[in-house]
Amino acid sequence: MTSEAQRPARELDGELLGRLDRRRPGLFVGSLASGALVLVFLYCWGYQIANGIGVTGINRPVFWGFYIINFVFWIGISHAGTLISAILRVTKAEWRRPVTRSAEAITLFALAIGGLFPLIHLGRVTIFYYMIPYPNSRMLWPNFRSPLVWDIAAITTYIIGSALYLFLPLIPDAAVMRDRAAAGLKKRFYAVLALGWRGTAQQWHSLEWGIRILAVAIIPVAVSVHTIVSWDFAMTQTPGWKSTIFGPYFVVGAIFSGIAVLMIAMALLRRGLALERFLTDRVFNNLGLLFVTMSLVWGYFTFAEHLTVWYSGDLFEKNVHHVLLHGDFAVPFWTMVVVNLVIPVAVLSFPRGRRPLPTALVGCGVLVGMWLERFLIVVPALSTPRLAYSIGDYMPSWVELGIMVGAVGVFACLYFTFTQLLPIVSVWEMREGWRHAGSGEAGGAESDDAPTAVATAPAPGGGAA
Amino acid sequence: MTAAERHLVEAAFEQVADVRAVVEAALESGVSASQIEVRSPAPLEEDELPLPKPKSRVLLFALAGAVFGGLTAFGLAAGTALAYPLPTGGMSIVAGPPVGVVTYEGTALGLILMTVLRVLWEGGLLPGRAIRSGRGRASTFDHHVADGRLLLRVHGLTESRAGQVRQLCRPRAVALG
Repeated sequence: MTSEAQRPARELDGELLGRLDRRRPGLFVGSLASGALVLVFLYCWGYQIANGIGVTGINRPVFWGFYIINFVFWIGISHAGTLISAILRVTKAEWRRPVTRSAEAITLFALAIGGLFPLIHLGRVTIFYYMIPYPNSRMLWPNFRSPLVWDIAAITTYIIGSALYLFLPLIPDAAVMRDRAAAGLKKRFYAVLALGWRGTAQQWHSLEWGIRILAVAIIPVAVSVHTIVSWDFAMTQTPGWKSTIFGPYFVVGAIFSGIAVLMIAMALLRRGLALERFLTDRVFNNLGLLFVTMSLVWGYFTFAEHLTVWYSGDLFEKNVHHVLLHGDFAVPFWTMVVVNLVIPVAVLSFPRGRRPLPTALVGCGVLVGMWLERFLIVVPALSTPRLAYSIGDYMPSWVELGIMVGAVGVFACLYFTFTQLLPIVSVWEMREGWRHAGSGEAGGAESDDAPTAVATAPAPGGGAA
Repeated sequence: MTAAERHLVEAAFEQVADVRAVVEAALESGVSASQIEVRSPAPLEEDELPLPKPKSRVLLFALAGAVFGGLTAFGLAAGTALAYPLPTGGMSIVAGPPVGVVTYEGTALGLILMTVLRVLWEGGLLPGRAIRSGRGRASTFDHHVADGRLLLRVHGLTESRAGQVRQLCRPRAVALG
């Protein structure tokens, strides 16, 4: 029944489903290893709750330490998915199809972890609900004039939006998993997620409308989130923070660090799940070009920020500037410049550098660099205040370090679990892309992304329910 | 619908062209378009099948959600400023930035929530939503859709008409029931 032209698509379809059905011990081991870090995270946080915020290195004048650095860092990473996926959907980039699900999952999990850090920073986390506006007998009400309350509004919107933006396109794939699973707990789990999806014309039509609207709506929300996070700093009079370009600077940094995580995750998925034929070299090449572009934009913003501070001649601003470029923080500052700008441009400017391994390695460096950037925004400014007698130092305690490392474990654990349970490559979007490529429509122009030659036999896996 | 008209024909196909041919023939033979349902593993283009185009009001509801969310958030932020005033000579300050930020986020949240709710409603995916005339119900052929094929379902047929539709499907279908 199948024509020769359609055969490769059918075989690739079978191969993709086979990949998803297959058990992957590597992922299970990864989940266990990251689970150990989750325990570290829980222990350290529990220790802090039991003993108070005094167990951290936060003290006068550095009241914002690792927790706020990590908050900004993780919120930045969360821009990997929803924003990038939304931009690629809106621009109808065909090569987005194998990337979007993976990216959207990164957003959701990074955002959940980023949102935890202000709660951890509170110390008395059990009374966090004081920040939520609701009628109460204590006559307490949040101060809407504080940018920290704006954070709550923005992050709540973003996390709900990102979760739904991940969930909507997942429904048809959950139905695929439901119909391929043998009867039992697994089938019931997918049946709950699929919500009774059958693939009718009305369901597809409404879903496409929904995804289109969410993709457009989520872009300004994502931009607003990191802009508002930047205002936590820029709305103060603190030297080093009072800057008009902090909003766009943070957004650019967020997208940059987000792409770094995406490159690492995709390289791992490609190798770990043997998805070479879906996460093709072309996908890495295109993302690599985006990556190097963001590196240059980030470099431009960093230059502009420091140039204006230096040229202004403002004494207090120059003090902070001096410790960054020549003083106690010079090593992390110049390390940041090298790993965020010099190495990415040197490697990613060449086609051979935009392959999976080099891009993932550059991504690792950029993650370190972007964490250092957030460190260099928070600590030098607070430890170099206007009044000389209050100059202080900051050294993180083991509790803060444990929570930071543990948060990486929480993220990895959530991501591994998601990858084990659900298709990390969107099956229906791949099918749609193959159809377009086959019919010479939108994807046809980029048809080298839709493989046309198949050397191996299909691996249909699961089969009928 | 009488008991005699309760026959259902289901057939799985590899290609859209096959479904199109069968649907065209079925329509010509007197089957109503409202009796025909096609389930696909990926969205089909609007003109690929000779069936009425589905309609959606997701955009309208999204805009309504945005307006509702924006007004609610504005009320929350501005109301807070009025209920907890700064001491400014008897006048409350309803400052632009907090009201603007909260209203902006509330607008987006209202739009997002209403969009998703409407998508689920239109697709019959909300719990308790009745799916009319058997459409959207589970089929023993659903695994064909999961495996990348198209599923044609023709509802409410008389026995003779059902036999006729089966005859139309037989040469092209990979599975028939």
